[in-house]
Amino acid sequence: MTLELNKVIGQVDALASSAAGAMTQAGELLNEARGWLHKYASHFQKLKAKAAEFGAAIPTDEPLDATRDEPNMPERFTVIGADGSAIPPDRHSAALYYLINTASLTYRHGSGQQPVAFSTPDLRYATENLYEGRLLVQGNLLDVRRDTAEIARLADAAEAEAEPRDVPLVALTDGTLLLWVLEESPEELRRKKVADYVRHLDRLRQVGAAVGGFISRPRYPDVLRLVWMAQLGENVSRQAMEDNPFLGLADRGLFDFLAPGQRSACFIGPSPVNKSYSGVGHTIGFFYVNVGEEGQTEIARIEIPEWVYQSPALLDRLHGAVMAQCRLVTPYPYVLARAHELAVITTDERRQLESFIESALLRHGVQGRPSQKALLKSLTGGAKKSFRK
Amino acid sequence: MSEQPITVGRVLRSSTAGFAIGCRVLREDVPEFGAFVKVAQGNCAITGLIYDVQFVDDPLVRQIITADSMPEELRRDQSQRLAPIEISVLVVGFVRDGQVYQHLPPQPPATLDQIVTCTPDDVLAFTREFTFLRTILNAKDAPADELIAASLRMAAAARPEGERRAFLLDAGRELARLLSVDPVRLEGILRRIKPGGW
Repeated sequence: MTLELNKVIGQVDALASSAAGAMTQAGELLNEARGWLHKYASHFQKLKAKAAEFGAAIPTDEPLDATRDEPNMPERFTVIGADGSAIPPDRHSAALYYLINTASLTYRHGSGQQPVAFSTPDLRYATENLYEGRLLVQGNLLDVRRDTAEIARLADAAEAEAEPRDVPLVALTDGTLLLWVLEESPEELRRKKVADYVRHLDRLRQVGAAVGGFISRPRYPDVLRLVWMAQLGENVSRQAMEDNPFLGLADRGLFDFLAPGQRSACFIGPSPVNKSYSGVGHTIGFFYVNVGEEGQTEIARIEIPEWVYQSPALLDRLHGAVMAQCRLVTPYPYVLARAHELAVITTDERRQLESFIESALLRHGVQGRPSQKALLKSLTGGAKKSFRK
Repeated sequence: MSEQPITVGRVLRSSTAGFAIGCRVLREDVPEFGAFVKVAQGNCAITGLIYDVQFVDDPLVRQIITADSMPEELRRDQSQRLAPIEISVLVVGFVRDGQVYQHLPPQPPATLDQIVTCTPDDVLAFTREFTFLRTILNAKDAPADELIAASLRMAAAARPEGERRAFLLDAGRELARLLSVDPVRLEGILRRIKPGGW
């Protein structure tokens, strides 16, 4: 053990005290922001252009403080959830590779049938797959590949479910639909990656699925920026926007007035990456929804492409399906919890894969040894165990 | 008992006397207590008996149990979940070049070696002698009496119906010899393997 807990106890107490103070202050600030949300609710048309210019949530055609109660759902509808996880290339391992494991669960509400579980690992090791230009596929590059594999899995599962088409279909992915990690990327690369991604949104649209990206405990400040901008009126400027008092606060605090099951108005995401989506008919918007119960508010953010927020029927279907899923076990969609369970790669599994690879290399006459650093870590990191534990 | 070997899992930890298997199989296929399994080790096939099957703690099921209602789809999904399972095996002998040896193998299986179930022919060949019963009686961690009864029932089931009774009577005689100093324990085991009693 290298973290001496006795030395950090004093600091932990200071942390807790500071957090308590910040919470009181945050409550006051959010009250004020909520007041502005109601005050400027009807200004949604007027605020659109400025919001786009100043990086705030862009209103759609609903008042800013609009709410929509949980819609009724038909007796039968199908919800698909997809998730993915990855093992990044490790230069300390015996061979250079990466692996993306994608999974989905198809849950047919009202059918009494066993849900359809699916997972598939994709191991990449060829040089042309491991590098983009001169960069090794890791970090952001691998994240984009994993996110694209996830949405592809979702589209595959939706297409498999789409016939016959008499059962309404909802497709959920874990996390954002925006490849925001591309914010810093060159325009051409960003456009290409987004095109790869939205190809699958097109497939989902073709089969009539209501698509949503479910974000638990969202930390976005987009609508807070919008109400700050609204109250600045004519005095809005880049500097004034930067000087907003909401540092560290999130929209979910603003929307905690939503009753269980209620959703907020829809807004359009201000991320610069969204421009690449807009150009191809998939501008990404979002709404907030209280997926919790009475006395236990739990605000989630659902991201949606424009063809969902422009269709009241698809929007209601998505909203109702999210609530139905969040009532099954915990205020989190069951299909996503299961897709995660199917996709996740544990440390043990990773170690096993590494061991398979070393054995396979040996069979092919290659002495694939881990680096000395990896070896030393394995010697110091694990405790000895009898087979009986 | 399947005519074909079924893969049970891979070795997690091992010693010459026993090993643990980790697997993620469907619950309906969880191997039975007392089943004969084997693992290849060089030119040997190490034979063992499953004496413990543990489901690793599952927090999702705990949550579901507390839910107010349980739709049929949700209930049916649990039976296909990949539940992590750990199986303990007691080594009772090995087979080398077709010859059965009912004592401990020279080497334990290696980590990640594959374990499969024994076929009825394997079980029949291995249980022509009863020396392995002594190994089970001396096992420290396994519930020996239950394991003897379960494995003998399995071995009887691997035989043609007309031979089962004679097999169990022979096994009973061997147990009477091994447990001559402990008639109470002997009676407990004999009750569990009584022909026609399962």
